[in-house]
Formats: sequence, structure tokens, C-alpha cells
Amino acid sequence: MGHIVKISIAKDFSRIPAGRFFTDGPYSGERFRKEQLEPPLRKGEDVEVVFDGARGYGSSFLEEAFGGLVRGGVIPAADVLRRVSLVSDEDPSIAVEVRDYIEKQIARVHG
Amino acid sequence: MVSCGTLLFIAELDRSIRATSGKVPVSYIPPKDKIVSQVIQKVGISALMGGRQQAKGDFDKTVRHWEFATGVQADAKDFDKVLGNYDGRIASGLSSSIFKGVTEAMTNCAQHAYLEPRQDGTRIRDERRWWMLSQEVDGQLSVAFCDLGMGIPRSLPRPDGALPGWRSKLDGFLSGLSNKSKESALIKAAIEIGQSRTHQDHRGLGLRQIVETAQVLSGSQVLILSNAGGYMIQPDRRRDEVLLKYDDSILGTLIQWNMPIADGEIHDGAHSEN
Repeated sequence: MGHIVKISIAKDFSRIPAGRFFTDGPYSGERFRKEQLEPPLRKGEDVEVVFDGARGYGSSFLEEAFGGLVRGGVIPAADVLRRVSLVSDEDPSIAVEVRDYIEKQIARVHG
Repeated sequence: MVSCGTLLFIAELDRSIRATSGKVPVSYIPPKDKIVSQVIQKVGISALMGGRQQAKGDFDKTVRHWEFATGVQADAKDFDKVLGNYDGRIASGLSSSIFKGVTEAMTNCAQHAYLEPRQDGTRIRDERRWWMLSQEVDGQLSVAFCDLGMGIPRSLPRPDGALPGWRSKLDGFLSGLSNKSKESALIKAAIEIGQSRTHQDHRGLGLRQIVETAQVLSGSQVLILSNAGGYMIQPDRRRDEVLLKYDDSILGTLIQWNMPIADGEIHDGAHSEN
């Protein structure tokens, strides 16, 4: 296991994440993925994403941030769940939802 | 004044004034009713027409918590302005659910609502604008959100462009309903089948999240009006869903969340009076 980078979405990105693509708005899932998730993963580090503290998470934001991570191929699809851990103490259903998005895209990649 | 009708009125007025760059003068005769007059000021209608703004502290208690916001992106920076007053009065789970629904509605607006002209007989080139209003009356919180775009029924995938199986699913939905309910059935189909016009199966999830708020708190209701159709979900009522048909189209989409709100503070599962 590599060095773990902790990312709090509410503190390091936005307390009000919304939208899927850059063109949707200033705190989109695509922006979060490209600016926060991908850089440490490219460097070989693992990430721990903390969801607590934000107003909430729409499906568009979560699916693009995490499902998009699998689609984007920055790291092998099979490594995403091993190298990205999800912490959501305030609402555990968020981690379940995100895991579902990741697994669906892994299944799609592997056909 | 009801929030959904008030919001549509503000949206149409705002759109027209923006489209004409203010070159067409608009005025109004102030209402004699004090409360109506205050609502018109509180939600920005009088400001749109150059009216005098009333000091914040002077608003009646029934008007004080009307809040209005508008924007062109999925940017929730005004969410706290519109709903921040209710922190502590609604459970965090409900607040989070409303946030999800509102931001998904903003995202739908940014991505789908304005892809085709509105067909309202004007030549207005629309920006991707949304409008939002919150209102608290008689123990009920209402949050209304609208766009003046093409409407959900028109935004659904064309049969030749849809993913395999979509058409048969849609036909199944419509087969049990008369043609008179088609637009409302299409709204329901968009929620339950959940396919986006983009042909990508990882998209099209937002409408479902918009209606899930009705499940979070007993006594809640979600209403979606789009063009001449409507779909209402009210899990606690005997008729837990209702399809609506109107003679006229609102030429856009309006979503309204209604939920009971407590007088005291809510501590996520417990209720205490101040």
C-alpha cells in the first residue's frame, strides 16, 4: 500500500459540490476528479476520500467523480476500489452509492 | 400566493426583462393587500420593475422566510440563502436530500432543459437559467425550482437514438394510459426508466433522486410539472402517485418539494421545543 492522501471534499474542494461536468458549474464531479483524485493516484499514492461535512451529494457529481475515474483509465479499473477508500460517517449510504457506481463501471470495462 | 405559481410568474417576468435588456418598460400597480405587497418585494418582483425595497426587518412573519434565487449553472452557493434558515428545524438527512434534489435539478437544467428552443413564439435565445423559491406557510416548507426550457417529455430520447430496450419499456408504460395522460406518463417514465437522452447508461439518474425526498419525511410530497403534464408523489396518502394533465403548457419544468416543518429544533431523530 502506498502513501495515503486524505481528501475531505467539504474542506479541500467544496461544501456544496454540484453538477457533473466542468461546464455544469464551478464544483463539478469532473473538476473534483481531475483536480483532487487523479493527481495523487497518478503519482502512485492511494487516496482516502472523506464525504462528511458537505451539504449533500447529487448522483451526477458522485457518478462522474468516481465512475468517471474508472472510465478515464488513469489507473487500472481493477485497482480503483483497492486504492480509493471511502469514508462517510455522517451518511454511510454515500459510500455504498459510490461503490456501486465504481463497480458498475468496472463491470462495463471488463465486459 | 402559492410558491409554484409565484415562481413561474417571476421566471417569465425575469426572462422577458433580460431578453429585452430592460428596453421594454414594465410597471405594476402595487397590490392593496399588505402581505401580497410584501411577498412581491421579498421575492424580487418589485426590484425587477424598479420598485422600492422594504427594509428586511419590516416584513410580516409569514413573509420573512420567502427566499428567492436564480442562476445559470449547477452552483449551489445560494442554497444556504434559500434554505439556510431551516438548519436545525429540519433533519440533516432531509436537508441533504433537498440539496441533492435541487442540485440535480440545476444539473438537468444545465445539460438538458435548453437543448432545443422553447417554442413559445418568441425568438428569445435562452441562457440556461433556473429560478428557485422557498416558502414557509402554516407549518409547511415548500421549495420550488423551475426552468423555462423544452420540458421533460420533449427531452427524452428519440426512439431511433435510445439504448436497446428503452422503447419497449416506454411503450409498456404508456400502454395502460390514455393518450390524454401521455405527457405526465412521460414524466413518470423519465423518472422510473431513468434513461438520459445521451444514450449513456451511467447517466439519467438525477430525476429519481429529485423524487426520493418524498420518502425521507412522513407527510412530504414532490410535484413535477413539465409542459402540460404533471406527476405528484405523496407516499403517505392513499393515492401515493397522481398523474396530472393540464390544458395549457407551462413551457418548461417546475419541481416543488413540500414537507412539514417543526416549530422547534430537530436533532436528527429527536424533536425539542425552543
